[in-house]
Amino acid sequence: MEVVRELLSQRAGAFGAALFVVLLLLALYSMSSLGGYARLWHNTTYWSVYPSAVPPEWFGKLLYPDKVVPTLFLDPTNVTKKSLFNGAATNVTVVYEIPYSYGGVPNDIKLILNIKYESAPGVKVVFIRPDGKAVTVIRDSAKNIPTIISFNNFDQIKNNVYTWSRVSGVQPVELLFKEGDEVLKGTYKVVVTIIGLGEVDVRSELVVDGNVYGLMGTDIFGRDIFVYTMVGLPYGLLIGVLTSLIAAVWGTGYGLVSGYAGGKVDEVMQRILEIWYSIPALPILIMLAIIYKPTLMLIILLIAVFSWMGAAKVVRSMVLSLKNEGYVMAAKAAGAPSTWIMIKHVLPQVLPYTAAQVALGVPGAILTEVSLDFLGLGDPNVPTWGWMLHDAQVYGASVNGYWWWITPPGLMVALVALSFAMMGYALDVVLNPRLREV
Amino acid sequence: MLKFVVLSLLLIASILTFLNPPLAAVAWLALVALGLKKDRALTLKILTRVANAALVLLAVLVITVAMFGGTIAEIKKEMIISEVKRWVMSQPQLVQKLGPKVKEFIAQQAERLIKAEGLDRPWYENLPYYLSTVVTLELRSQVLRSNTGSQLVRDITMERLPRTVLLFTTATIISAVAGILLGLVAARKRGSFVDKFVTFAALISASFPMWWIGMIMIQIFSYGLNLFPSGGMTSVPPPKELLAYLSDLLYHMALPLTTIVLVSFGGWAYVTRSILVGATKEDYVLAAKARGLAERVILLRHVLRPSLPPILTMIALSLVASLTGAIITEIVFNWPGMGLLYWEAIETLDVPVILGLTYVFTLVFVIAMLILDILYIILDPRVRG
Repeated sequence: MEVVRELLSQRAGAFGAALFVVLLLLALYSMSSLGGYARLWHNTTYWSVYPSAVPPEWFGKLLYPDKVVPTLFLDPTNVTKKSLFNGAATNVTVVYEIPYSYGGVPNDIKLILNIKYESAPGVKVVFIRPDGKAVTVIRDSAKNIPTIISFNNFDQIKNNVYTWSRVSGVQPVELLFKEGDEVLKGTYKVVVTIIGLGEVDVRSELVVDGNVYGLMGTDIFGRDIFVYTMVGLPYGLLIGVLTSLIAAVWGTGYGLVSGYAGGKVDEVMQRILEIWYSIPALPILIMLAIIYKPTLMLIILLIAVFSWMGAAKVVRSMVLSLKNEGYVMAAKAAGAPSTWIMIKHVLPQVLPYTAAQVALGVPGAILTEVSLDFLGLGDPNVPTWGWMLHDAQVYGASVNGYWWWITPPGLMVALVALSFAMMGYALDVVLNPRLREV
Repeated sequence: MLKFVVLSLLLIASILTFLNPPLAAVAWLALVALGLKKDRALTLKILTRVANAALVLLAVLVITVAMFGGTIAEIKKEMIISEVKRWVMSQPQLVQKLGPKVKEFIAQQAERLIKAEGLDRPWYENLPYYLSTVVTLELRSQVLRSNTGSQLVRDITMERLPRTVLLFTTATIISAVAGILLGLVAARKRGSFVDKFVTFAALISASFPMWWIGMIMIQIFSYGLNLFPSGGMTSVPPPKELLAYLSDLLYHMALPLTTIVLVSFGGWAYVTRSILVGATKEDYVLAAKARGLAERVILLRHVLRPSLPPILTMIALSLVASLTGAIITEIVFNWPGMGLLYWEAIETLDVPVILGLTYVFTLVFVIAMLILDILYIILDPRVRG
C-alpha cells in the first residue's frame, strides 16, 4: 500500500490515477445506460432514420447559429380511420405538422410507414408548405414503397419534386423548404392518405433530420458518435488492462522461474525469450488475424503472447539480485522447497514491478488492438474505437471533412493510454529511485 | 590500431555482402580468424550471437511457412477455383463448346493451377523449396508486380525499399537529432520548462497512434487548409524535370514526415534524458564533483561518455528498424513503401510476397538486435565479463 501512496505523491501518478478513475466511472455509466447500443452497432435500419454524417450541435451553433436545425421526431397530430362501403374498404389519413422556425434546411426527411394490409392499398403523400403550396410527393401502391422513406433518396419523391419545381440537381428537401433563397418559416404539413380494400392498419413516424446532432454528431450511417465513443470505453479499458495483465502475469512467472532456477534452465529460457523478441509482432499478428478471424478474447490473448517479454526481463533481473538476500538464503537453509520460497519470499518483492509492467503495457496493448480493428481484422461484433476509425477511413471521413467522426475515438484511445502511461511512469520512478528527482 | 583494422575489415565485409557474396565470405572468414587469434572469448561470444540470430530467422520462417501450409492454402485453393470459374463463364463460346463437360473442365484447370503453385502438397514438403527461395528473395509473386512488370519478389521489394527509407529513415534521423538535443537540454536543466515539455512530448509519443495523428493532419492541412496533398508520393503523372520532381516529392513528403517526427521525437528526448540523469547519479560523478572538477569536464567525461553506448545503439536500432516503415501510417498516407506493400500482399493473399516480406522484416529486426548486442559487447566492457 505504501507503493500506492507514493504513486499518488508523484504528480504524474496522481493525474494518471485521477484520469483512470474518471474513465472508469464513465465506463460504468456507459455499461449501465448505453449497454444496449452495443448490439445495434451493425443495425443500419435502426440508425437510418438519424441524420447521416452531421456535425455536433455545439459546432453548428458556433459556426452557423441561425442555420442550425435540430433533429425532430414527430408523432402524427391527427389520425383518422374511416370504414368505407360497410367495411369493404378502409381510408386512413395521417397528418403531421412540422412547426418550423429554423433558418437552415433539414438534412433529410424520413417517413416511416408500417402498413398492415390484406391487399396492397394506394398511398398518397402530400407535402404542404407554410405558403400553402402543396406537392404530391408519392402516389403509388403500398407494395412499391419502402418502410423507411427518405425524401432525398427515394426516386419517386425526387422525380415528383423536380417536376413540381422545374429544378433538378438539388436535394428535394432543399427545394421543398426554400422559396428562392429564403427558407420558409411556419408550419409544414405532411398528409398521408391510404385507401385499401379490407382492413388497413398504419403505424407511422416522421423524422426531420437536422443538420447537427447531439454532442458529437453522427457517422455516415447515422450512428450517434457520442454513444459509440462511450460504448467503446469499457471495451478499450478491458482490452488494454486484460492484455497487459495476462502478459505481465505470464512474464512475471517466466522471469521468476528463469531467474530462480538459474543454470541451464535459465539459459534455455533466455534463448527462447530472445527468439520471441526477434519476431516482428504486428506483421505476424496481422497474418494470424487474417487466417483465424479471431474473437475479442483470442485477440487479447494473441497480443499478450507478443508482449510479455519486457516483464520477464525486468522480473528476472530482480530475482537474480533477490536470490542472494539473507532471508532467501535462510529459508533455503531451513529446507523450504523452491516453489515455497519463490511464492512466499521472492514473489511479493517482485509484485510492484509487475504492477508497473501492467500499467506500462496498457498503451501498447490498446494501440495494437486499435490497429488491428483499423485494418478491419478485429472482432466485427465488438464496437471498438478501432472499428469507428476503420469505418471513418473506409467511408472517407478525412476526404469529406467529417472531423467529428475521427477525433473522439482517437482521443479516447490516447486518454486511456495516457492515464496508464502516467501511472506506469510514476510507478517506475517510485520503484527505481535513481530516476527520482533530488 | 587493431581496433581500426577490425572495424575497417568489418565495413568492407558488410559492403561486399551486397556486392559480391563469395568475396564477402572470404572477408568474413578473415575477420573471424583474426578475432579468434586476438580475442578468443569475445569472438566466440559474437559468433554465438550470430548463430542465435540465424536460428531465430529460421524459426520465424518455418512458423510462417507452416501457417501458410494449412489455412492459407485452403483459402488460396478456393480463390483459384472461383477465379477459374469466372474466367470460363466469361467466355460463352467456350462454355457452349464444352457443353455438359464445363464442370469437369473447370476442375481440371483449377487442379493444374493448384499443382503449379504447390498447394496440393503438405507444407513440410514445400518447406525446403520455400526456404531456399525466400532467403535469396527469388520466389515469384502471384498477383503483385513491380512497376517494371517483374514478378520477382526481390525486384518488388527493392523498388519499395528506397521509398520507405526516404520517408522513415529521414524521419528517424530528424526525430533522433531533435530528440537527443532536447533530452540533453532537459537533463542539464532539470525541472525547467524544456524538461517538462520533454515529459509531455514523451507521454504524447506513448499514447497517440501515429496513424491517427496522420489522419488528423490530413484533415487539417490537406482538406481544411488545402496546403498539402492528402497522400501519395508524387503527383500523377510525376513531373519529368529533376528539380520539379524533387520539389514535388518534398511537397508530398512534408505531411507524413511532420507526423512521424511529431510523434517520435518525444520518446527520443525522454530516453536520452533518463540515460543522462541516470548517469549523473553514478558514484564516480559524485566523486568527480567532490574532487572539484569543472562542471563542463564532468558533463563531458563522466556523464556523456558512459551514456554514449546506449544512445548510439538506440540510433542504430531505430535506423535499421525504419527500413520496414509502418504499415498503417503508410496506408493512411498512401505512401507506396514496404508497409503498404505488405498490406497489398495480405489483401490479395499473395503468399510469396507475404513470405518474402515477413522474412525481410524479421531479417531487419534480427540484424538490428545483432548490431545492438555486438555494439554493447564491444563498447561496454562490463558485458564482456
